[in-house]
Amino acid sequence: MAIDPTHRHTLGTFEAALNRLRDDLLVMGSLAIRNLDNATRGLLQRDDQVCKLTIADDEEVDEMEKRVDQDGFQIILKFQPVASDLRAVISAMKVCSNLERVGDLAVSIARRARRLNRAEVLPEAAALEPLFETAQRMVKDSLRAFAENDLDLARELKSRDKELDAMVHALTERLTQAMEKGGPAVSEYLNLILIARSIERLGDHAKNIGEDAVFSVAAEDIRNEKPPQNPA
Amino acid sequence: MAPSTAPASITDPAAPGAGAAAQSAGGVPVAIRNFNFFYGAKQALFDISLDIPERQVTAFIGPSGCGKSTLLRAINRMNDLVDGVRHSGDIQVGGRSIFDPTLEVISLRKRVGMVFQKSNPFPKSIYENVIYSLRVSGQNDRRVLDDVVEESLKAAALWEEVKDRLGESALGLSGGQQQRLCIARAIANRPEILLMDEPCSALDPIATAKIEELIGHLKRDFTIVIVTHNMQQASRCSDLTAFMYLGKLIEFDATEKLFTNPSVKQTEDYITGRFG
Repeated sequence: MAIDPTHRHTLGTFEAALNRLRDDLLVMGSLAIRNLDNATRGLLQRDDQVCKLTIADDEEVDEMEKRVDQDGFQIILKFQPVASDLRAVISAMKVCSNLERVGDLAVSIARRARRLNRAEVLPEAAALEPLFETAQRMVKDSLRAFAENDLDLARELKSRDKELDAMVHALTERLTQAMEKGGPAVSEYLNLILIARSIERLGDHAKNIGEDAVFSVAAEDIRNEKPPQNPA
Repeated sequence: MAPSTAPASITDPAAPGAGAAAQSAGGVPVAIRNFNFFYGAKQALFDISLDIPERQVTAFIGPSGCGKSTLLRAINRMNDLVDGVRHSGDIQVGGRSIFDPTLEVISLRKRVGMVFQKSNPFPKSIYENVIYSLRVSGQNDRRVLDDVVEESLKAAALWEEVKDRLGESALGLSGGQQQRLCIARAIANRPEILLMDEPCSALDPIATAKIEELIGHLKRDFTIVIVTHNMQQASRCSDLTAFMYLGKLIEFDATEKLFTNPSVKQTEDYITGRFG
């Protein structure tokens, strides 16, 4: 978040409010990431208890969303921020919305994992692991980019999201072919496909957070810009 | 459809001094070039160069003592009233140097009107306040004066509140009404440029809002320069903002740009409250 901790506001209450917003957002981020990690573990390790925990813990993420929004609202109301402070507050509120969706996606994954855990293991389920690793790393990196004002890290999330999309697309094709063969596991394959779709959405939210980081730090709106092409 | 409550436009294309005449040779109403200003031995302004564009609101912001009011008052040579002042560089209004020895300062101040922080209505009637300058110029035609009073008070968004008591003392008006009367008085001369030195700082929030609303309408007809300590007011009311510090112009840019992503760190630090 684009706040220079060494350069303090004259108004101490303003400084404290910005710090509170930043801290609450980081707490929310860590809760969302924890829930995502648990949902992943619940699926890949077939751990139903962890899945149930993920579903229950989403309430915390939802509460933090309200808290971060309230923090931002109060800053705008009381202090009428401008320039970097305004961008930081607006961006934080947008990041918070993305993190809430990450939490919801973790719940969706956990619910589908519970259904899958009641059925026979599908060999293709393990193929989700690299996708999960990629998406989890992206979400973590996006928050790090935002918290540490790392523009390079923020910008590269666009191309990483494209790579994740390609991985999801490839796996979806494979799962679809397996499903088309018929048999008793059609429903399970469908669940895997929808989990892959959730992973793709995780990448989108990580990309969005990266875009918000760039706006906060550099005042550039890079939404809907094509990622730089990798040299051949 | 409800009738418009917006102040009437005072521009009469046929009136001298309106609109098109307000262009300097460089194409702007006010051109400030390498302007230095001294109160005796103390230099208050350092090498200021700035173009004030036509029919927009330009705000001067900066901490106390930065020279913004000095610069504002230089535009209509109000600083001449202070002993021991001197300057170098130039200010052009309408393409002509305001320091041209053949220029009449009184006529300059008709073209470049001013509204001050503390409203200063004369101890006269509302009517006489508005037409004071015309009376001094020798205008006594009642029909002309009546028209000017109505047009100016309408343009200042005060007509409906005072039209039935124009003969009453201006001192009986509220603070906000007095300030709008001072604006009416200034625009009765059909100036090209209106200078406003913290026009709302002595007013309550509602009166301030009315003045800000009025500024938004007046800029259709006048080039406006406003000095303000209120950052939010500058961001609401102005099209361009100049940030000054210790007598120097630090940054001058579109208001939206300056208040969302200033180019100079000093500007960022000031407007975000990290110094000043």
